[in-house]
Amino acid sequence: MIKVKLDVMLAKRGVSSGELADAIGITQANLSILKTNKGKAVRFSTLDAICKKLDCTVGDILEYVEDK
Amino acid sequence: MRLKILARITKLLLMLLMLSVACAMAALVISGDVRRFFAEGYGMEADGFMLYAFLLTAGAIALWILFELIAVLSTVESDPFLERNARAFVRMGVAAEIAAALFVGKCVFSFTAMTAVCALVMALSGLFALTLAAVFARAVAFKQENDLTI
Repeated sequence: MIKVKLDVMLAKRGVSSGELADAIGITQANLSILKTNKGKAVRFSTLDAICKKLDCTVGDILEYVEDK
Repeated sequence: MRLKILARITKLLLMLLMLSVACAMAALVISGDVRRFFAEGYGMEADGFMLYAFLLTAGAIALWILFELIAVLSTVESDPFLERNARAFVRMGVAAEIAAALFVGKCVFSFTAMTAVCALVMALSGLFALTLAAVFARAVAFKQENDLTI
């Protein structure tokens, strides 16, 4: 399972969800879907925008966790 | 804009058709003249009664299909790719196939060329509706996938 660690990165960089959503051009509702692992897929353009804003790599945001 | 106008015109025509079918069915049940017509033309024995029952059942099925179609058309302007619509097409397909069976049954006891044509048309329409239901179900799955793609 792919786990989204966006909350961790947001806390590390001191950026709020609303600020990130505005910066990358998605709604807060969609960002919430991403943060809570309810999304089915993420576009490369979204990942690119998130990494640019939070100054991080994809590995800082996404993590593979084995299903139990 | 074009879709909106098209959907509204179609919905209006379907509602008029639904009203016509309902009035015809009401006339079958209420009107003494219609009952006399059947009695004189077909006799109130088995044939007359079967034809009467056939017309009422076919009318009820037509109303069911029209009701489902109008409900689907109501969603065209907003978001037509709903599970509800996929299920509606399945119901329409089943209703059409039942109607086709009814027409085939009518052919057995009172054959006319028009009845045979109607049976074929309803059978094909039913299959088309069931195919459309499968297509809609796929479209709903794609839409859900797309909605959850951030």
